[in-house]
Amino acid sequence: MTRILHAACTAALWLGGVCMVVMVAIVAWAVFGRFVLNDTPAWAEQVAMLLLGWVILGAAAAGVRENTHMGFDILRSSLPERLGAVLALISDAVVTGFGACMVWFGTELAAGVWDATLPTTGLPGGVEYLPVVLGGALITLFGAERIGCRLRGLPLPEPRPLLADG
Amino acid sequence: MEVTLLMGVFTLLLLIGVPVAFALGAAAMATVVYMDLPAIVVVQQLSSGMNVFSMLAIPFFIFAGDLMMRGKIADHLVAFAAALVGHMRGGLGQVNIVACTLFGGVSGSAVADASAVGGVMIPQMRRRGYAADYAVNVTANAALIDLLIPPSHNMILYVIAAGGAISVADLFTAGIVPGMLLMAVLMVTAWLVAVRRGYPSETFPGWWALARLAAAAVPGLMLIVIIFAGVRSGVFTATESACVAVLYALLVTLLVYRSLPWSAFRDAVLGAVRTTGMVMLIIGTATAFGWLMALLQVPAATVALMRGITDDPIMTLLIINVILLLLGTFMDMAPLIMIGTPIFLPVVKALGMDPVHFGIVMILNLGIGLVTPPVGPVLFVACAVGRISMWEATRTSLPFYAAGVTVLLLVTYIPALSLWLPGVFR
Repeated sequence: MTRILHAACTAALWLGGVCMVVMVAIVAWAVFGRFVLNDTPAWAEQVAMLLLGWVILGAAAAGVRENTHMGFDILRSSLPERLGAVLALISDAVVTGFGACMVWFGTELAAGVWDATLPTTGLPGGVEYLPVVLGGALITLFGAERIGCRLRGLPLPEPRPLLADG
Repeated sequence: MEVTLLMGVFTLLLLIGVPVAFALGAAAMATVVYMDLPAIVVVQQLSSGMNVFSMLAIPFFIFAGDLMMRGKIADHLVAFAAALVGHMRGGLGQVNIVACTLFGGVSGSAVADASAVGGVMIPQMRRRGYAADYAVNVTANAALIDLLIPPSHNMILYVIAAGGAISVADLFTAGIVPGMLLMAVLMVTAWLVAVRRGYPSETFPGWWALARLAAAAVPGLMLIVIIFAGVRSGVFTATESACVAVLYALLVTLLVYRSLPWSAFRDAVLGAVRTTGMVMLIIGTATAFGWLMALLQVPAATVALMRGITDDPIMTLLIINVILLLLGTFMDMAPLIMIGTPIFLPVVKALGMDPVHFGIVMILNLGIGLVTPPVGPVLFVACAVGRISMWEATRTSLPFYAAGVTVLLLVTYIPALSLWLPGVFR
């Protein structure tokens, strides 16, 4: 099971990586089109935005497994061990629960606009919400994995060094 | 009651260690359910918050910064800075500050700056007999210059959080003078500390060597010109300029410096993806949170509350600065920009403050939080590079911290520092 989740996490990151590179290429093409060909490709903006969703939600889900999301854990680590462990469990449950909400409501949103078509690309309107559904599903899985590890006293999936914004 | 619930749940979740992004989302969800609104709206806001075209500039600037960090552009900038200011007292400290400023002009992320320049400078400083705490404090504080010198993805975030009515070009331009001021004040501080501790200076390599190293640094530095001129003249949008930054970073590291092997490229892509996921999820959930705050009329209530405390603009700004400094100590920049802007911008606008000016104040202020323990990520990175604990660094950080706060007060109370340069360009 751990191996499958590890593979899913790696796949999410790589999918994000490919989308990132393609996004750069698309926007570059749009700039080239505007300046050189005098013709801005109309689809470029929308496709880049669709890809961005996959970058964000794939990486956000991987961040749950790799434990890179910024949080404030000073208080937790200074509490008695038992109490800290309970809080950590609650924290993971909140993450998992929010992931589940993303799946549930994301599916509802996608289904609601599936029959509509996106203007320039002609794709079903629901594709905009697919990253939320799939990203949410991975967040739920990775969160549940952490809860499972904690309850059974197993080590958590490898935590990564801090990578922060700024 | 609803406001108390929203803020209370958020604070509680934060304290028990729930990551900021999820604490924002879960608090919004709880409040929406309590208010009997359809919970689906939280997820809809989350999705729409990430679905703004100008948002694309953020992952691109992060990606460009990662490429430059791993493509060793910093090495050339450090070599140039060393020839330029190394002969001053405490030379390597000065080199560090100037190199951070130059790198700030090409990257736009303080964390990337601290690890790229710090990675080169801190070990070198230790070998030359500088104490690790000095090297770490100089690096961490100099990295803040990066937030003010364009490009800066946090500035894009501020423009979005402010409702998009502010020009990115003006904000980019407005950061330059405060950034230079911070550089100057930090250089004086580093010099004073170096004199007291008796740190050495390096020998001047000669004008010829200086010119040669300057020429080697030019390809990297050209990026500042391209982005700045592109956005300022309106040739590029911020998103397009960020995309050009990525392409240019690739070009320079692959073809000019030849310092980007496949493994470094892969790490840069995955590093940028990871950071994007973290930052943009926060933006998404903060959008839902902010939407709820607007619905509950929190910004209007804050204006009324501040008016009730004081009518004095100087006091009001001081209060806002103290609040932001305190919040910045515990929380990251992105969520605070997303949530703090809609709350405080109406307050300062009512005082007649220019939103561009407030943006610079806010970014510098929250930047100081990045070097304040216990959770300052920039200080954390610098400490990790210097292999000392945060506590060891903090014991001697006061002069540098004071320098940052001094510049913050100057920038807050002298609007011309931020607004003069954009006026010149307009």
